[in-house]
Amino acid sequence: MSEEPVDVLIIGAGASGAALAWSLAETRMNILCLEQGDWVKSGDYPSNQTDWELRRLGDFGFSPNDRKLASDYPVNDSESPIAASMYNGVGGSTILFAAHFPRLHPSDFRVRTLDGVGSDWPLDYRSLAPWYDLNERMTGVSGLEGDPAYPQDPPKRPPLPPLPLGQLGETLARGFNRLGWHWWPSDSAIISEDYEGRGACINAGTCITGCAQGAKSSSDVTYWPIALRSGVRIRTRARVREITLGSNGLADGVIYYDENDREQRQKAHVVVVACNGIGTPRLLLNSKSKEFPDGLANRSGLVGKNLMFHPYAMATGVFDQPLEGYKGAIGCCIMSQEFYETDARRDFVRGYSFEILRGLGPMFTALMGMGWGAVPWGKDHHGAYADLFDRTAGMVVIGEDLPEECNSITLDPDLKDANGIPAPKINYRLGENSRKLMAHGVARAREVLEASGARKVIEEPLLRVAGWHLMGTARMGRDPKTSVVNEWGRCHDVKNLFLIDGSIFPTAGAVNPTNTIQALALHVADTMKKNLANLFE
Amino acid sequence: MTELHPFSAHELDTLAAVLDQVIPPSADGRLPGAGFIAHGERFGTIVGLLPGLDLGLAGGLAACDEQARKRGAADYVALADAERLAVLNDVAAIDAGFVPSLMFLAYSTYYVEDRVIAGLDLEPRPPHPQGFAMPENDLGLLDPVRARGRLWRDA
Repeated sequence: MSEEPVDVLIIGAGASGAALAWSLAETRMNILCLEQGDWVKSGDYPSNQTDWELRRLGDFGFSPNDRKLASDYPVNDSESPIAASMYNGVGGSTILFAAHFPRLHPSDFRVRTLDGVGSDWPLDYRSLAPWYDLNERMTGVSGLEGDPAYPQDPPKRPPLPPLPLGQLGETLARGFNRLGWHWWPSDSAIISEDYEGRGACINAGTCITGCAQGAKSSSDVTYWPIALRSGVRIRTRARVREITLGSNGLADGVIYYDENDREQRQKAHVVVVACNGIGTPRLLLNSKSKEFPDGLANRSGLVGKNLMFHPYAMATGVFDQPLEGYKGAIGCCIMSQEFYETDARRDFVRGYSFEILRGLGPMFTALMGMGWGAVPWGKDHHGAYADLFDRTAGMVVIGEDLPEECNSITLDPDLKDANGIPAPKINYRLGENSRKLMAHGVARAREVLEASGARKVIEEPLLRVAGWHLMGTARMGRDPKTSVVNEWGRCHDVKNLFLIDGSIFPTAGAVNPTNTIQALALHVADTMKKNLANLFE
Repeated sequence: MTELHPFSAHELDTLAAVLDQVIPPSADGRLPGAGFIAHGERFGTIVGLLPGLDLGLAGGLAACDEQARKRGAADYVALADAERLAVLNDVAAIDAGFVPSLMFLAYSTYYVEDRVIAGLDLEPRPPHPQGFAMPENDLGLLDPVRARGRLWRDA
C-alpha cells in the first residue's frame, strides 16, 4: 500500500471522525480515514425481517464480545459492573445508538468551580454553542425550542419538529405534570420530516438495531456522504495497530492490517484518532516507542485513566391499559432534567437525566419478563405475558459519573484481537456519589410511574449492558501535567496528533454524549483550519 | 468455533414435548405450544448464542428420559401430559439450570414466529418499510412546564 503520505489521516469513521472529515474537506487536503469495520447497507438491518428482535442477541447486539464480528475487537470487562457497548463500522456506534441527542448544560463545563469536584473544561457552553447548532443542522435534529432546562441566549433551535410522543409519552408527561416536574420532548437525531434527501421516521421502533429507513441520523448517512463527494476517502476493514513516531517527534503515520490481514503502512502529516473512549487509549497505549515507553502522548500518565460511563438505572412501570409502546423511536420520546443540577439538600453533587423508553417488542417483553420473574413458564404463561405486553413504559436514569483515576482502560496482558493486537481491559467501579445519585433517581422514577398510573414498578439499580458512553480516558485541559490534549484536541506531547472522541471529555455531564462529541470535532476541525499555517507550533 | 452438540431426532422430539410444557397452547387456541421450536429453523441459531446451552439442554433431556423410565414409561415422550409436567418439575429440582435454559430458548424464539405474532393481534410483518402510524402530539401538555421558568444554572 501507499507510502505516499496523506495530509490528514483519521482513524475511525464514527461520529467524530465523520464530522471532522466533513469539516476539513473544504480545505482540499488529501484526507484518508481508516476504519476497521465496514459499511452497513439498508438491506442488512434486522428491521427488514419479522424476527428482527432476535438479532439483538447476535450480530446486532450491543457488545463486541457477543457479536464477535470480524470487525470487532474483544474487550475484557470482567472487572467492571458495566459492560462495553459499541459498534465498529462506518458510522461507528451511531449505527446502533438510540439517537437521544441532548446538549450538555452550561454548568457541565464548570464542575470544579461550581461543585468542587472533577475538572472544569477549557471551553464553555457559549463557545461550543455554534458547533452544537451546526451539528444539529447537519444531523437533522428533531425537537422543540424553549426548553427551560437550557439557556435561551443563545437559543437552542432544533431544525425539525419533535417526534411523536405517542400514547406512552403523553401518559408519562401527565405523570410529570401531576408532580410538577420538568419534562420536554427529546432532542432526537432522527428526522421527523423528510430532510436533506432522507425520508422521515416511520416509527418502526427498531432504532437500536439500526435504521433501514435512514431516518436515524447515524453519521454514515449524514456527514460521510457529503465528505466523500468532497474528496475524502475511507478505507474500510483497515485495523490500525499503532501510530508511528518520526525522528522529529511528530506522528508520521500508522501501521495497520488490511482486509486480507496484511500489514500495511500509511504515512501522514497529521493523525487524528477518533476511536471512542476505549479504542483511543487502547491505540495510544499500543503505540510505544523509545520516546513514549508508556504509550504515545502519555507523559502525563493519564492515557486510559479517568474512565467515565454514564451509569444507567431503570424503572419499568406496568400499566393496565395498552400504551402502543412498540411504535416509535425507542429512546426518543420525552426526557426530564428536573434533577440535573446540584441541589445542596441532597447527599450527592451533580445529577441525572430521565430518558423515557418506549415499550418492548414481543420477544423482549418475554425475555425481560423472564428476568423480572413476571412471566412464568407453564399454564400461567399466557395470562402473565398478556398482562405485560404493550403495557410497560421504561424510565432510565442517566447519572453523571465523576472522573476517578482508578477507573481505567489498560492493555490486557493476554487477550488479543484477530490480528494479535492487545485488547483493552476495563477496570471500573461505581463511585459513592454515583451510587447515591442513582438510588435517588430510581426512587423518583418510581414516583413518576406511579403518578402516571402504573400498577406495578420494577426497579433495576444498575444496567450492565448500558456501557455506551465512553469518556474521559484522554482528558482535555490546558496543563500538560493534568491532561492529554489541549482545548482543541491537540496532544500536548505530539503536536500533529489530535484526539476528538469522548475520551477528551474532562467530565461527563448527565446526557448522551454524541451531540457534544460531534460539536467538539467540528470545533477542533475549525481550529485546525484557522491554524493551518502554524498547526504544529 | 466449538462444534454444537448434534441433537438426535429423539432428543428433538423430547425437546418439543418439553417446550410444550414451558409454553403450552393457549386455552382459546389462538397461540400454539412452543414445541414447534425444536424442529424449527431458528433452533440452531439460538442454541449457538450461549456457550454451553446445547450441552445443558442435552443433559436435561436425558434426565427427563431417565425420570420417565423411573415412572415405567419408555421415555419422556411416552408420558401423558400431566406426567410430563411432573417429570419436568422433578428434573428442574435436580438440574437448576435446565428450566432457565428452556425458557431462554422458548421465549426468544416463540415470540418472533409469525403465527404467534398474529395470535397477539399484531401484523406478522417486518417493521420496515411500512412502520407504524402515530397520533399528533398534544403539546398543550407542556403549558405547566413552560410556566415554571428556567432550571439551568449560570456558569
